Amino acid sequence: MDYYAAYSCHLKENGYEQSQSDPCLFYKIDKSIYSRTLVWFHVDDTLISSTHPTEISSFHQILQTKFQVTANYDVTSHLGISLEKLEDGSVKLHQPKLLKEIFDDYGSTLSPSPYPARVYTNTTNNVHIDQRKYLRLLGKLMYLVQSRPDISTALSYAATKSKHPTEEDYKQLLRIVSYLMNTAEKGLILSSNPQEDNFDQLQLTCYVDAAYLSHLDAASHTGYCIILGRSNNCFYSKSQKQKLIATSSTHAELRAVYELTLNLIFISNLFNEIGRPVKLPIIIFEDNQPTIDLVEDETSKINKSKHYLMIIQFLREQVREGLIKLKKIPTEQNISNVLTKIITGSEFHSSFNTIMGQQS
Amino acid sequence: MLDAFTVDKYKVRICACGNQLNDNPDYSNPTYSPTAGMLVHSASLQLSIYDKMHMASFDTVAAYLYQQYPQHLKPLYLKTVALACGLDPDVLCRVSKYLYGLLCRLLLSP
Repeated sequence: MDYYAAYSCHLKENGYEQSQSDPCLFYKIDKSIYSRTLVWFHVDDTLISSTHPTEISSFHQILQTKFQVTANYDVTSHLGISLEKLEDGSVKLHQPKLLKEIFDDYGSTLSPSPYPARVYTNTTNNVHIDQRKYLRLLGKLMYLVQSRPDISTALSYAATKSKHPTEEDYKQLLRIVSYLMNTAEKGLILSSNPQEDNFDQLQLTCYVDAAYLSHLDAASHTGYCIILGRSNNCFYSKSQKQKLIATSSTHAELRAVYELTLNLIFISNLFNEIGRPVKLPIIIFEDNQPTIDLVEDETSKINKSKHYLMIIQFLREQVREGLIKLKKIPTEQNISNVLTKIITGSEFHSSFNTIMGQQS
Repeated sequence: MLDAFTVDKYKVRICACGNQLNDNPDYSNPTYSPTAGMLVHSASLQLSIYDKMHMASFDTVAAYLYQQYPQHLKPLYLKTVALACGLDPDVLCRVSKYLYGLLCRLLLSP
């Protein structure tokens, strides 16, 4: 903490502005030379990006006046995630070190599998296993999700079993490892702007979906992903069990839209702050027509939805304010469908290839 | 891989007379550094790549050594520190730097 205080004070004294959204993000906008510099750090690891290379070298000098630092002007890895630059300027996230560790520990008895989970699992094997053994592997896989969103759904479902894991649940985790062995070379590709030096307003596009009653305890599952501008990948995707029990599929979908909207408010504040405003309204693609009607149509009746009035009114307000706009999309085109339930077959591959920016 | 769930690393925070500590000022000084959220991390990384910004990474060497003992507090002369360093306990030792979160009441009022 004291190091953090010293570090952030030093940055502030040298003209860097601390973000209101996150205490670990600093930025500097120099209007005279149209430069924008972002600095964010994880304890002692700092990552800086700037539109002008001179800003980076001056930042290096600023740091050196107070701290002893090692600089790396060619970023190849950050926090254990390797950043591999591809020809078209996009960057592939990959975690070969963690993958190798997992394969060495667990992979010896496994054979590669094409999917991270099976749709139907027989629950005959109910022998409880050591929880710590389960959590140890689960935790390792959790960190991998940053570069591998394609295991997030399977992992999210597996994590709901972590209180009383059975032999079958552990096999499910090992199935994820088998899938990773089959697709070890995959990684999330963050693409760059296809147009040259175009700093127009950023357009965010989101896909959202929910799976009603998908858990054994009647909870539903949220899945959403966010695309930045014209990039062809989702920089953020989430697959999460809902905290409250939804009473209808519309309720579940609305909760998913609500959770997404909370994050969108945060992202749009963050991007506004660092001088890269988001184009409003943000388009949210949703495949459930009643949900869209409830939110977009102020006159629609909410007789049957009184018990989640807060969510509806909150979303209506955001629509009125012009932050979000819901749009209908056919279910088969909704790529976030794979983030809500275990799916195998061609939809799994096509959706996750879109989410991860894979060219295929 | 370790066979059982064995402890292979310890993180220690020295806490003397913990029951006598008050919230403020004894441990209002949290031990751990805040870290950037996952969403902030992926959003800034994606934006940097999208805008084709130049990137660099910096790693602070031995970051914990930058925790200076506050100058406005009384200088410290601790026998335990001297003993731990293998020095003569009668020799006066002054703490100038300390590891994460070691400031506690005993240090503040020796």
